[in-house]
Amino acid sequence: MDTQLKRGLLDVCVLSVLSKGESYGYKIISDLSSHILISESTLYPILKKLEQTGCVTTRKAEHNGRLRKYYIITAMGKERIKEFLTDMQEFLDVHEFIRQGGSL
Amino acid sequence: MKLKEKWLKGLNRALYKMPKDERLKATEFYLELIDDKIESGEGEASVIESLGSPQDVAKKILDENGIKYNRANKNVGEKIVETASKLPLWAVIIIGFFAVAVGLPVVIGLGAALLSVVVTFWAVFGAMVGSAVGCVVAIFVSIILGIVGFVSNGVAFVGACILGLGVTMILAVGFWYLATYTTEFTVYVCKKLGKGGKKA
Repeated sequence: MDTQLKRGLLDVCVLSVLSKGESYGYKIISDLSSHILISESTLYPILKKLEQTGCVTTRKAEHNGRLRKYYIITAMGKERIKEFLTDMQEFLDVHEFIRQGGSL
Repeated sequence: MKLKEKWLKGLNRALYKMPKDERLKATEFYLELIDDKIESGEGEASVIESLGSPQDVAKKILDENGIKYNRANKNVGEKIVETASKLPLWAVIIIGFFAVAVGLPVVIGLGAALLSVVVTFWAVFGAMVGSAVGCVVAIFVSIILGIVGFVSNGVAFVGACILGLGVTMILAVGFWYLATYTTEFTVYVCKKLGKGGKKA
């Protein structure tokens, strides 16, 4: 798949995972890995951007004597998912149009 | 946990272009991740290997931030430390010894040579100025002599002195340019050497 397209999809994939409940780095990767292969060096910038754009917030909690950072989706993040699904519907319509050879 | 610490230190170093708090966040993220993977049963060595080199990871993080991670931009000191850290200690000591034993005299020699050229040019310039002044004085003296009575000798002498004055003035100008150019060059070289050690 085209890299740019994949990157755009990954943002929403991460948000989708978080919409089910807060999570942390390692768990996000393993939850996603059954559907999309994502490396740590890809995930970190995504989480950073999501935090910058206000789609997630973070909190720190202790786990086994060390600090763990949890990512929590915000209202804006949930809105972003809705936006994506609407865009995708348009995309699918265009896809169908092209698949039919330029006519519907 | 030596591998983990080494990897994280490498990441921190490779992210030197980022502000400190950003660097800290990135290293914390990876520390947590590594610890989680180890906790889930994966061996430390295997985890570190699967992450790839800290430089590659750093590059990706910097790319996302629009910061160019350019190996070539690293200053001389950093490059030396990086290569040195990959060699065994005995190799570093031997190389260091040779670098000083051979390099230092060469640098001193070159520096001295350059300096002596500069000094020479200035000295000749000074000599030419001195000669020009001497010629001017001689002209006046011979004019006086001519007036007093030694006419033909005086005229010839004045002519010779004017010629001498002309020649020395031309040479003086020439050596002035040579001297100033070589001085500027020396200053430029010194600045470049100074910057090479400090560039970050």
